[in-house]
Amino acid sequence: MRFTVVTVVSALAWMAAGCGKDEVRVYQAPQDALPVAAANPQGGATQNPPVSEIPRSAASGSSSSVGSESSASERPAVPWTVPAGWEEKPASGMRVASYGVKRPDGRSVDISVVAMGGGAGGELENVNRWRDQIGLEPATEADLAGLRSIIPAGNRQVVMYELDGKKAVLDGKYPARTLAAIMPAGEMTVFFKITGESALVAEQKPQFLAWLKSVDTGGGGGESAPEASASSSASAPASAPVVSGGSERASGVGGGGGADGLPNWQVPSGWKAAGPKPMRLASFDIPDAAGNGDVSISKLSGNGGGLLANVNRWRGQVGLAPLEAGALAANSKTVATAGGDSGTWVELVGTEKTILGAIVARGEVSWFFKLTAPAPVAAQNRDAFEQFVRSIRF
Amino acid sequence: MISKLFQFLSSLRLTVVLLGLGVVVVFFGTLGQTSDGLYVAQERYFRSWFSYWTPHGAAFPVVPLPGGYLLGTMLVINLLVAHFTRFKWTWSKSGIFLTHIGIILLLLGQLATDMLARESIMSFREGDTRNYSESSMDFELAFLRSAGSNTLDQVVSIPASRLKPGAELRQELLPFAIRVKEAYENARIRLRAPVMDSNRPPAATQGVGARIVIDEQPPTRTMDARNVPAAVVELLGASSLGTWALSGELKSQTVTVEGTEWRLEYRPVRDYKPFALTLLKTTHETYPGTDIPKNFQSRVRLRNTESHEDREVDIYMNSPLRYGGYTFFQYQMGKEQLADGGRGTSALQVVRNPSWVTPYLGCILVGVGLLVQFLMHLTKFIARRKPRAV
Repeated sequence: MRFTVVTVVSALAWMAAGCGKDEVRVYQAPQDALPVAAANPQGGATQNPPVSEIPRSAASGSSSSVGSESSASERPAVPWTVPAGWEEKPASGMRVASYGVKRPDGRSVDISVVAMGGGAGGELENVNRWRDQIGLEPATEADLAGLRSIIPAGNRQVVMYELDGKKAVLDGKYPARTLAAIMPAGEMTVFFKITGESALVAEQKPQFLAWLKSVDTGGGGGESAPEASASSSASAPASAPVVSGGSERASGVGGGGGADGLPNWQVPSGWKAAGPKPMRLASFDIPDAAGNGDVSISKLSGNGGGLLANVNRWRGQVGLAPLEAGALAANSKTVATAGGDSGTWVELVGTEKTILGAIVARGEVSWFFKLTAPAPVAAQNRDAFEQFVRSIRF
Repeated sequence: MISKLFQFLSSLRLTVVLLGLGVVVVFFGTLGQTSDGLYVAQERYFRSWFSYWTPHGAAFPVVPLPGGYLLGTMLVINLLVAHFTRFKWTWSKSGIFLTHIGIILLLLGQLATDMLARESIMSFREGDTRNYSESSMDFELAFLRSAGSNTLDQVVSIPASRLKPGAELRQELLPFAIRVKEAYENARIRLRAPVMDSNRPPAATQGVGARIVIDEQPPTRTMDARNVPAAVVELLGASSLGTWALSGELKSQTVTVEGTEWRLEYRPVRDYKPFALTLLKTTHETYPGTDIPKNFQSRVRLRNTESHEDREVDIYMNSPLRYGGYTFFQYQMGKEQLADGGRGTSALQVVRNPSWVTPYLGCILVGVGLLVQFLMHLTKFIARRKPRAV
């Protein structure tokens, strides 16, 4: 019994002492592995962050047709000429672009551009998926050669499959047909596909081929012809250019920018190249537990609707009131790129989100570099983003 | 006088009053939880000696209440004094004795749990290895420098509760003193906006602090959000090393003093373990066509270099990993939102409760005591009946 009393008293005394919760602790601990979002340019680091390789956006390329001047969105001009009669549809999911043709009798075709990482599952698998969609039996590896043709796309040669379905799979009335071209592009594979009612696809085939021919595949076409014709696998080596470090590429590139239309730049460590997104030339993710940051690079013809209009659109996205025309100068600064261009730099700090942006007007086009992130993530990546913009060489 | 005190402390009336007050405290504690949230209500009503309940919106305390510690202590004293003064040990009362010991063990066990049990979170992504868990409530200001090897850091950790404005903290390993300028229980940081913040200085003079401002936020009490503390400190070496902004939202910053690079991190308090877990695979299954979770499962690799253990374990609902005095429960599961699909993430709730066995022991003692007492009465009763039957 006495023991119990002693226990109670000592427990109470210990409770009063507060268990040492407020003590300063000194200990040795294993070092943390480098976090994914290691980009932390603050804290006195003055050297340039390491350069990492980035895959190119599949839809990249210099402008060959001009987007609408009135468009206030960040829609870069598409790197192809859209055939007459093709109606643009909103891009969704993995689609970079989407078009359609409809006939009054209900027949229709769907045209899509889809970009996927790597070989996107392999050529046979893709072909069989398309065959399945139109009611055809799966093909074997040996069959592929007979189904394949080589067609020009821009200044390159790509593989195209023509799959002619016999079953009436569309509304139970019409057979379907698919034409699909496969273009390896850096670490990506881009699929150009038209599918729909068999006769209408056949009718649209010349337009489809002309459209592919119009695709701007960049300047280095001769060297980057795909090897798909020699190989039965779509996972051809990355023949399209892959950017690796501005400093490495700068010497090999003249004044006209990169071979695929994008400038050179240095990517801060911790940024991850993101897959293709509609209307963007390139994207990066900045992974962070507080919410990922998003970096987008896009291009518009002309002044893209005007500097002030774009800044005000961004301000609206973070909940800031629009600026009057005269107030822009006080709310922005000039940023110079390594290539000698200068742009307008804005920092738009909302309560939740922050947008950092640089707009560089270059002759016929305007380039938009934009970081959108939760406030603390933007604060920590601000200097990294500025270094990124400053490293740009067109 | 003393005999009267003992009489009071041993009275059954006191027991009834204390149990009645216990019901009242539970009632107001439950009401208080709606405005204070679970953790604050626990601290205020149950881990306290006295408390008061204030209706929502009232400016002053309305109902004074005894705290949980007071009631528990009084119950233990009541039971012990009753034993001392009234209880005479005989074999016939051994059942009651056992029952009372069991109840005391339950009360003390709860106190020990309250004092010793620690809950923390171990969160990682597939492929990550962790040998520490993090507090979900408390933060620490950690100063880290290399401990002379490539794998170890020397850490000086100062609890956030010590960062009070005006405080000056010293630790012999640190080549500087820390003077606390500002401290916030909950705050957000953001870039110092041009024009908008032109009349507001940056939060600090050094590091990322020179670019940001700190916006104080009202402390949150809800279960699904947590306070992110922030502070501004001045580091004082031979001369001032400038002011630094600290926030749970910031990653580490570095300051170089006398040729040594120190990293500053304001982070959840860490509890290091003598073993490591690697998250190998997450399984997140929902019922078909719904978002209702069916199975959250983490496959982890447990490695202990001292005992040379190296094995794989599955942790899932109702099947925690018990190891080294810790229990790891499956807590949350997610996925990195990245373009390449991202890796699966998992959070394990890590509970360390050295007194986890006391409630079981207490209940067994109470049960055995009641059974003994009942059987004694039964045998006595039967023995008394037998002669009459004959």
